[in-house]
Parts: sequence; C-alpha cells; structure tokens
Amino acid sequence: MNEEADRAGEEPVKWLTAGELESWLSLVRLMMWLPWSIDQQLQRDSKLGMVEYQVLAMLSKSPERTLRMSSLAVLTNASLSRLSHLVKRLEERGLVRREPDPADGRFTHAILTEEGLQTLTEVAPAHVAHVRSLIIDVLSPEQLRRVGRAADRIMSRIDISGVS
Amino acid sequence: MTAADELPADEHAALPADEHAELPADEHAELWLAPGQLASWLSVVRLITRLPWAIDTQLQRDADLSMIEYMTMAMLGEAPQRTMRMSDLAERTSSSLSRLSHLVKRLENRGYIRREADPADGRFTNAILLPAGRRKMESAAPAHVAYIRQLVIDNLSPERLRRLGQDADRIVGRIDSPAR
Repeated sequence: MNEEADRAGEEPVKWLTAGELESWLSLVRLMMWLPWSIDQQLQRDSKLGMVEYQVLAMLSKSPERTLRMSSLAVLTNASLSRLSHLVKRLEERGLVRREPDPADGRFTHAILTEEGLQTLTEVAPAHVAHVRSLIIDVLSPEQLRRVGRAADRIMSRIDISGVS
Repeated sequence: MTAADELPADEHAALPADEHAELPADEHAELWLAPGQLASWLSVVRLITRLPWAIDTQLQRDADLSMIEYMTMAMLGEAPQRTMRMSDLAERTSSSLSRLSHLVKRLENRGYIRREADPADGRFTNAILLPAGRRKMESAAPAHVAYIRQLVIDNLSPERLRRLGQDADRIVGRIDSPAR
C-alpha cells in the first residue's frame, strides 16, 4: 500500500517510523481520553461540559466578569458558532447573560451572572481535584512544563484562522 | 496506560531546588492550581481541543473522513487479513464500542468496510477492510502523514516527541475508562 502510494505521488511520502507512530498514537489516545474524562467528571458533578466550564472560568477571571464573545471563543478554543450555541444554553440556565457591547454595538458581550459565579464556585473544587489527579499529581513539575511547551509548539503550527 | 509506573526515580531529584517553591504550601493553595501549573494545563487543554479539530479539518477536506474513521481503517489495513474484532478495534482506536459501531456502520454504507460474525467464535463481530477501503486509504494517507509530520513529528525533536508520548501515556494511564 505504501509503495503504491509512493509511486503515485510526486514526492516520496515520509512514512512514520515505528517509534514516531508509537508516540503519535500516545498523543491520539490523550486527545481522545482526556476530554472524555474531564467531561465525565464535570457532567456527573455539575451538568457542565468542558468548554462550558471554561466559559464560566474565563468570565470569572475577567474584569466585570465580562468578555466579548469573539475573545471568549479564542480563550475557550471554540468556534464562534459553537460558542454561541453553548452560551445560549448557559443563558437559559441563568449562568451567563449576553448584551451588546455598550462601546460598540456590533460586538456582543457575555457576562457571568451571580448565579453563574455561584455555580462555578461550587463545581471548581471537584474539577480542580480531578485535573490534579490526572495530570498535576502524575507529572513532575518539569514534566508538566515540558508537556505544556510541546503543546504550545504544536499549537503554533495550527492555523486557527478558520476556527472563529 | 502502562508508562505511569515507569517514572524514572531521578526525575524529581534532578530538579533545581526552587522548583519545589511552586508547590502549594497551605490547604487553600493545594486546591487551586499554581500559576505555572495553570498555564501548562491550559496549554494541554488547547492541544486536546484544537489538534483533533485541525486533523479532522485536514482529513475531511482532503479525504472526506474523520480522524477516527481514518484511524479505524488504518488499524484494519495493518491487521492480518485486514480483519479485526470490533472489541480490539475499539481498544486500538480509543473508541467506545457503541461509538465504533455507529462509525463502522457509516464506513460500511460507503463500501469501505464490512462486518461479519467471527467464524471462530460467533459471539464476536469482525470488521474487515474492503478493497475500496484500501484504495481510499492509499489516496488519503500521504496528505495526512505529511500534515502530522508538519504539526507534530517534524516539529519536535525525536527526544521531545518520545517524551511527549510518554507523558501522554502517564496521563492516559490515570484515566479510568469503561472501554478498557
């Protein structure tokens, strides 16, 4: 299969070595299982998805607990359309509200409500404990830092212009 | 899944003394992540959110396949007789069995895969990659491999890549999954 494809392409394909493949599959497993595990814990304890939690957390750290939807999309790694659906659901639960940016009506603000802050305060400890048990307590500080750096390096190659 | 216990004993010892200053001192700080920990965690969150998205985008655009569909067919392509039990395939593709069943059904409808009862033990179902599926993979693989090289493999030194894989294994090893 590989040789046929080699002949068909203009440039020979540099297939992954066994070691590269092994590392790649480890990373794929991480990408599949980690979001799943985080979602499981959050849904069970608070009926929130991972991105929903991130929305509440990012808003709580912002001045006036307010962010433009476009900034929130970047911070939560969500597309603007996905974020809109998600914030709408949070709005229906009374955790977030939206209003036009008073300074520029073309933009929409998302604002964390008192109830949203209350919810976040209630659910954060279990979430942080889960993240700790999966990652922070498993990796040494140096391992954690190098994972973060490798992640940043990979992310810098991804063109996210199509995300939002 | 296996590497969690293989953490070299000297990793901690090799750290400069001030690394430990980052560790929380009181009970309150123990609950929350230290700033450095939070930054690394958010980097990991970005990775696990955006990298699958990027790979899906490439595969959908170039081959009309999702990442898991691609992986499923790639695993079958490597297997003897291009055949695997559905349960093994679920394990290898990090997929739940119910999710895999839906996915394989879609690939079956496209003529890439077929399913049949395992002749050796009818309680199991086998998935088999068909010639159309092989041809699909032959045309999809070069662009996909080139993309993974660009983003990950050639972007990290061999040592960094190896360590990233090990660190990923350590984390995944802690995840209590019903599929395993």
